[in-house]
Order: sequence, then C-alpha cells, then structure tokens
Amino acid sequence: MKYKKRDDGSFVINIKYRQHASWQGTILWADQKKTANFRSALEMLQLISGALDGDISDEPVSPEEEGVWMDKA
Amino acid sequence: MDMKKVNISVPNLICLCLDDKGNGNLQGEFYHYYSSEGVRFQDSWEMIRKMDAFFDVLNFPQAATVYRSFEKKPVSIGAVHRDMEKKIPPEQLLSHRGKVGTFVVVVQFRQNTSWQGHMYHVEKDEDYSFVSELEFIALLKNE
Repeated sequence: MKYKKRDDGSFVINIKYRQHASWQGTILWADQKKTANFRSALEMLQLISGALDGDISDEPVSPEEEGVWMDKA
Repeated sequence: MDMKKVNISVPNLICLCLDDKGNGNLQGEFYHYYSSEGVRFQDSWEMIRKMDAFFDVLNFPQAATVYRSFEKKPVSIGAVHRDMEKKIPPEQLLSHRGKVGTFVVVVQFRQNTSWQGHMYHVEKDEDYSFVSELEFIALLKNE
C-alpha cells in the first residue's frame, strides 16, 4: 500500500525494555493503525522516518543524493 | 595528535564538529574521507540518521540486522551501497574543528540495530567507548 509523504504524524511509543544501553518496545502509527516492534532507539527513529517518508521502495539513490556522499568527479 | 585507540585508517572515520549543543540539541556538521564538503545536521536525530545513511552507502560497518518498517514485506531503507574511494587525506579530514567540540568517531559494529565503537574528544584529549546510539548522543551532550 502506498502512503503519501507527510510532514506530521502521531505515534504512541511503548518502551518495554532497556537492554543493550538502548530501548526496546512497540510503536503504534496512530494515523494508519499499524504497530511495529523496535529493538533500539535508532530502529524506532527509522520506523518514524519511514512512515513520514511515504512508500518505502528499493529505488536506487538519485544522482543528486549521491553527491551528498562523495565529491562529483 | 595522540588519538590513543582511534584507528584513522578505517573507511568510515568521521570528524564530528559540534557548533552548538544548547537545549540538549546537537548542531554542526561531520566530515568523512569521500567529500571535501561536510554533512550538516540541525538536531541530534538528524545527525544519527545521516551518519547511519553514510554507513549504509559504505556498507561499513555492515549492519547485522535489517531495520523493520511498518510495511509487511522487508524493504531496504537508506542509501544504496556504492563503492567509494577515499578522496581526502587524513590530515585534511582531521583538521576541521567545531565551535563547541570536535570528536573523531569510529563506529566499529552495528549490532542490535545500534552502534558500537569509540571516539576521541580532540579538545579534551580523551577517549570514550559507546555500545549504543543513545550512549553516543549522551557522551556528545555531556562531554
């Protein structure tokens, strides 16, 4: 299912454990009523980022984005 | 500069320059071997996301796990891996300085969907190890 890119969203975060010096728990994307588990604060952040960025696909990095990581030859 | 444990020949060496850490929010830019331009960030999580995307492009350190998503099927998140050659000499990379602090960071592993490594605080001449991204941010804020 394709989601639109958006600037806002509501999430309910339930932190259940604090292992490996990080957080583990579940996150509910309230707008879509979808739940996911996360194993670290970083994974939680990636889940939120992915939700706000809309449909996540396997598209390759665009040439403009590639310029972010290396000087263009 | 005696950086003790930091191995400056690693491909994902980062020179992290903090320009502001007011209100607990980290702002600045980080430099790496593949571009003369720094990557700017306006808050702590943007810094983490961009550094993680950089590691994905390099595929170093290789992540032990794939990040989950709200989609049912597993998807690739982050930049696609590219073969990259170092373009910047170490002296140039390590010459950058942040206004409130400069850290030379080596992320050695990406296990438990998190980061493990160590870093050197240039101004204080001290090493720190971290076992998670949360610990990494806490060290940057407090040291």
